[in-house]
Amino acid sequence: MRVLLRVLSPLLGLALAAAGALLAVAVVRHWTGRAWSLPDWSWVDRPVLVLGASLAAGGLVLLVLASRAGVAQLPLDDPADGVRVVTTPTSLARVVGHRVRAEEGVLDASVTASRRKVRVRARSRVHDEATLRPRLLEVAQAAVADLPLPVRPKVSVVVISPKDRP
Amino acid sequence: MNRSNRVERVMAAVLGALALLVGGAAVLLHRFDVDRPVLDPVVLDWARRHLLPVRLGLLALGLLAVVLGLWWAWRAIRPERHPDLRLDDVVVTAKALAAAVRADAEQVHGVAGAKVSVVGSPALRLRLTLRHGADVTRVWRELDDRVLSRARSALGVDVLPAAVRLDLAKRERQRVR
Repeated sequence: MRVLLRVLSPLLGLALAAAGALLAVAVVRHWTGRAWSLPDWSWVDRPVLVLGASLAAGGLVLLVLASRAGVAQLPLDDPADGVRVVTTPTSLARVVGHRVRAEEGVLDASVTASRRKVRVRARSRVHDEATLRPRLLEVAQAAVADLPLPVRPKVSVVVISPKDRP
Repeated sequence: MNRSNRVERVMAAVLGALALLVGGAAVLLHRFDVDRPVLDPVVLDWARRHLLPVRLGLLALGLLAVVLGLWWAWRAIRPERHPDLRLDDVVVTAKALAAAVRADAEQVHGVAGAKVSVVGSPALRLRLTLRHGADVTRVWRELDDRVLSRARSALGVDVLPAAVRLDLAKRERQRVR
């Protein structure tokens, strides 16, 4: 999405400039008595629907593009004046995942993270949820607390174990 | 860290929202069979009565769109500046400064790779890739203690603006043979 926005931006800029120039020329022509004749459309005419739908669809595409072209960032504390450090939610998930996977009895774990929440989903064959969950929660919370995050996300842990199956 | 695309995103979002509003309104008016001219006589009458301000307003709007559009296009295609630094009689090239800071950053324990750009005079942008399992807090601390403070003292400045992004590398999948 970033690349697409980078490619489209000059074209969109030129399109905006062209539209502005067209409007300015139309006003000047009207002022000098050589006004362009505009189509006498009513709202029920088909070209209005086609133009309106195209405009709305294009606008929606642009909105989606603008919202998806950013990189999610997690700010860390500033270590010095003028220094801004950020990381990504993916990196935070990897930090927590690394610590959780190192725990005894954890077969695998998947972690998703955002600015506000860290969700851990661990699999174990040897421990049930009641035994393992408190320990993993503590480990995951400690991993988050060790980071220089100005806002600490909430941590939740789910353990999936065959021992919990009835 | 990549060059920021915030302006491009805001411009695209504003243009998109405007297009969606105008286009959506046209579709709705068509759908509800509003049988009135698009150039509404009431609006045209009002515009005729206020001809000068309307003309001036539309002209200003058109020129504003031209300026904004050209600025947006130029901003999107211009190459990023990497200015050299002048220290008394010596000129330090942006490339040399970036290479020196990168070499220092790659010495930090846990850093697998670093990309450094000089984006102001002086201002830096760093993107550090950390090894899987690296101690992020230690890297964060050493980044200022060892890398940026050294750059500050070498350049003789108290404050060296820097935007730093830390990325933790993926864990390597273990193969079972």
